[in-house]
Amino acid sequence: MRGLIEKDLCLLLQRSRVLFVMIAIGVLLGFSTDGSFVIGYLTMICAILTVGTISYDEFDNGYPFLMTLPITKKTYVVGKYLFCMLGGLTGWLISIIIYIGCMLIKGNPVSVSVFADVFAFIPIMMLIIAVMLPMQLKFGAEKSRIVLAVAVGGIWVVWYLLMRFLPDNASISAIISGADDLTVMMLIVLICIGALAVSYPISLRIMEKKEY
Amino acid sequence: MNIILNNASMIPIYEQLVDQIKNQIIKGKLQETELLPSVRTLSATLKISSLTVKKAYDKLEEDGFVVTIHGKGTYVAATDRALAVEARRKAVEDDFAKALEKARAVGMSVEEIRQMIDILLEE
Amino acid sequence: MVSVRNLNKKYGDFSLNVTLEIPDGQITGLVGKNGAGKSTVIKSVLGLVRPDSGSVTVFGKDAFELSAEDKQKIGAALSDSGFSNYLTLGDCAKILSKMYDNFDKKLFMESCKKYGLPEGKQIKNYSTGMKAKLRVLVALSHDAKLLIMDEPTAGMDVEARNEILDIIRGYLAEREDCSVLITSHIADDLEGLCDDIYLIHQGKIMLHEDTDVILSDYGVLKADEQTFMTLDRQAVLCYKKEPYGYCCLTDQKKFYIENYPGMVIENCGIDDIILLMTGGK
Repeated sequence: MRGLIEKDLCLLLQRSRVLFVMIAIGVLLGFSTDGSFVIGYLTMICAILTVGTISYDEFDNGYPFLMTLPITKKTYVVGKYLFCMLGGLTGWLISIIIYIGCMLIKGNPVSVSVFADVFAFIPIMMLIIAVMLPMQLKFGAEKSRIVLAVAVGGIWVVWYLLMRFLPDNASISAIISGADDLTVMMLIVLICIGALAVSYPISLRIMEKKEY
Repeated sequence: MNIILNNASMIPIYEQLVDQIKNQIIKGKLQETELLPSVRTLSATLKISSLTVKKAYDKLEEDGFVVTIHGKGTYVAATDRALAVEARRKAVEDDFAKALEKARAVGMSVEEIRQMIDILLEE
Repeated sequence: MVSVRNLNKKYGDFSLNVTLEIPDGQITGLVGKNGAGKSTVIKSVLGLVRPDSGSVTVFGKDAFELSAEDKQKIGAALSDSGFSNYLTLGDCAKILSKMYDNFDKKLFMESCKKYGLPEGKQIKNYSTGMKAKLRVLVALSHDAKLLIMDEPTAGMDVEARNEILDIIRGYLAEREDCSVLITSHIADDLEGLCDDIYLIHQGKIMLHEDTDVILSDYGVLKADEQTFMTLDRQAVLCYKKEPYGYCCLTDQKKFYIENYPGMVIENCGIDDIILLMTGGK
């Protein structure tokens, strides 16, 4: 496991220029926007970058060799989830520092109310990981991008149709707008845990079925 | 130990190996109780399979030229050199006997055989 | 150490059926033309592919179920797969030291230096030969008891090939109990290394013989039409029509040397065997 994390870290650092640019853009965003957008942005970017290490494993037929190393497929999957979450969390922490830094420099007061939103990014980031990891493992870097685009489009269409044709959509939005922050939060966390609980065994199955 | 193998020769590699090591023991180039290189080491230096080396060592042990102590290695045995030389002479004699048999089979006379040996010796 | 029994694997038209055995401390070679099935055997032994039927066991366990601990004892060099090209040698050393309990970093870096592998360059900037050397050195970096090497010398010139074989020989000389499965389509490479050889052709094992038996007992007989007609073909394994007559493979060249004094009889290498057995009758 330690070896795998080390490998992913090395791969990520190979793209240190990309990371640097991302952080620079984050700082710019932190200055130009007042909201917590920068936090969401950097957290997601970091999660996506860490998930992207899978495509490095896959490049140049890298998997067969990887699987001869003293790891099992299970360790590989667990390692990926851990690494991506750590990556997302790191991005999240960095972005908070940037956010607070920018606020202080600009002389704006750091409002506590923002932090309620801030914590919501963690489950969302995990949700993204929960969706992207099995897709990357199953379809590979190239195809998973298409699959992801199709999936998002599909969800959007379904959502649109629901809104359009469901007669009492007013009640749904009433429920959503009527709920207090804590309930929404709990709901998001539950969805995220549920997503991970479904995503992990799927990833494991995908890996265990694979032959190289 | 100095070994030169001829890959093109019709004599099997392992026999060449046995012969050369025996020679060196008889000539005293390899001393009693001297440790021979390990099987894998010798196979690496000669670029031949280790099974070949192992066969050669086994043959040498069978003929009493070396002793293998398990886990330690193969040593030159305390052989009676005179006896070893005698054994080789015997081998030559056997080969001559075979040649003579063939010669008689094709009906060569004693004189003819002598002549042939003389010619061969002069070559 | 490794036991492959009735391994069956189908890929479209290609079907593999192999039985082979690597006893403890033995160096076994697998030769065959490109596409004969060598890599599939290697991958089955490494647990990378699951057999359709039959069994593959390594250290007495199913190869597909090997634990991380078992894999600590295996050193693998694959022909077309290695560390990500974006990593550097330094990265590899860091990763290996966290992967393997017995990784000897100092020795690894020294050998890499000795064979001219630059530490800071990304692997993608390495030459073919350098990449191959790296793969072999990685496989030898952690005191493995079983080496599995797929075409470690493929695509290299004579000098680089010899260098790689010498690296492997050096490793084995210090470890009498290490077993090896190595493949090549260049049989010459294996003659001076392997204890026994399997010849694989179109997914089937055509021949299994100790290397020194091949070199000492096998031979190529070159017979003209007339000799061929009267030739005792009991010990002729296969033959091939040539402009001058017939080229025959035998596993008892002494017999023919003694009984057919006039006939041209040559020593035979594994390459000759491949050519004759996979091309002749």
